[in-house]
Amino acid sequence: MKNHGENPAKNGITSEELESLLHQVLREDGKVFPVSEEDIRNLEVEIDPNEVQNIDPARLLARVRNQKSEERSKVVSLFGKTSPEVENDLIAMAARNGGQITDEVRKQMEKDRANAEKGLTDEK
Amino acid sequence: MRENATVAEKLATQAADDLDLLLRMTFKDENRGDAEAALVEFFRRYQTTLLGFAEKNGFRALGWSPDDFVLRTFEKAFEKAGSFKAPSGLSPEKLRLKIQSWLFQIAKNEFLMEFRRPERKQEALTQKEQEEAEVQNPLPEKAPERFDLSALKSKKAAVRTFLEALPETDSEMLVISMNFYDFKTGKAHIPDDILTGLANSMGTTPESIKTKRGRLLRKLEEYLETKT
Repeated sequence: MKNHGENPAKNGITSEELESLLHQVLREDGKVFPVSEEDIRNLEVEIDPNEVQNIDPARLLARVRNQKSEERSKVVSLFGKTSPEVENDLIAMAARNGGQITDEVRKQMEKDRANAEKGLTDEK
Repeated sequence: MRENATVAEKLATQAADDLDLLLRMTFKDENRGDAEAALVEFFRRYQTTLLGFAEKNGFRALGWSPDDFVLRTFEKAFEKAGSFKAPSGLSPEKLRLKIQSWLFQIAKNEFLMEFRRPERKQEALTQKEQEEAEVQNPLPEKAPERFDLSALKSKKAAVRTFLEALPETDSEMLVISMNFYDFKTGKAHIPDDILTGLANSMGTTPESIKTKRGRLLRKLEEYLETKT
């Protein structure tokens, strides 16, 4: 990264001190990855659990199971295979214990899908 | 999670300690249902801090979803549960911090891998890359600060005001770049391959990120001169 000036500024801060100060402030505010256990403690204090909308674990299970089935699908099926869409639906349904998807989760899934598709388009 | 898990089994999982949950996750090939039940409880205990962090920082500027970032981290944690190491006899509080720091290191690896050689994302990692990605050095108790910044404490509020006044994209770019801060040199050094990936994600060029970042730091310096 380009150095923006080695010499101390008028107020006596060198460019290294400036970046150190900025990094410290960002760590204290939980905006960059924590680099110490103390940062993690600060982050825990900084985050109000009531303001965080936790993720439905069924979404994690669906991904974990999907990954597992992708690993298995490397084996060539002799009798054809279920389409990935159907397989994903079945896995997701199993992860929800057969329950319905709430509107909130449905919205999030659509958002995730849009992001994933955007990623695929960008890669092309 | 096993669909037919009994209430007693569910309660036992909720009461299990963190190490027990991690251990059960390592046996995913032998007892998948039990490992998944342990994962769900582990996720319930630890997702909030990581999610809160993902929502606070600038990953949105890169088109990332905080949820996706957190889910990816826990997927990896499930896969690598056996790599978690902690000395025996830790207090529950210490153990919790060790687990959080392990999760954040996994998250950071995922963050870096996202930018590294995007054209090779679909290819298998080399042995060396795999080893590098899996190294999980424990985080120190305190950050190895290069300078004694206590004299500059009074300037922190001004730094925050400066950041808040910046246009969102500038502020996010500066924040993201500070994830590459190196305590040894006292400066952020973004590796070239990551800088290229970052520039692609932000729809700009590596050179323009460097120039803009330098300009923003000069502005901050001037701001501190006048305001403190």
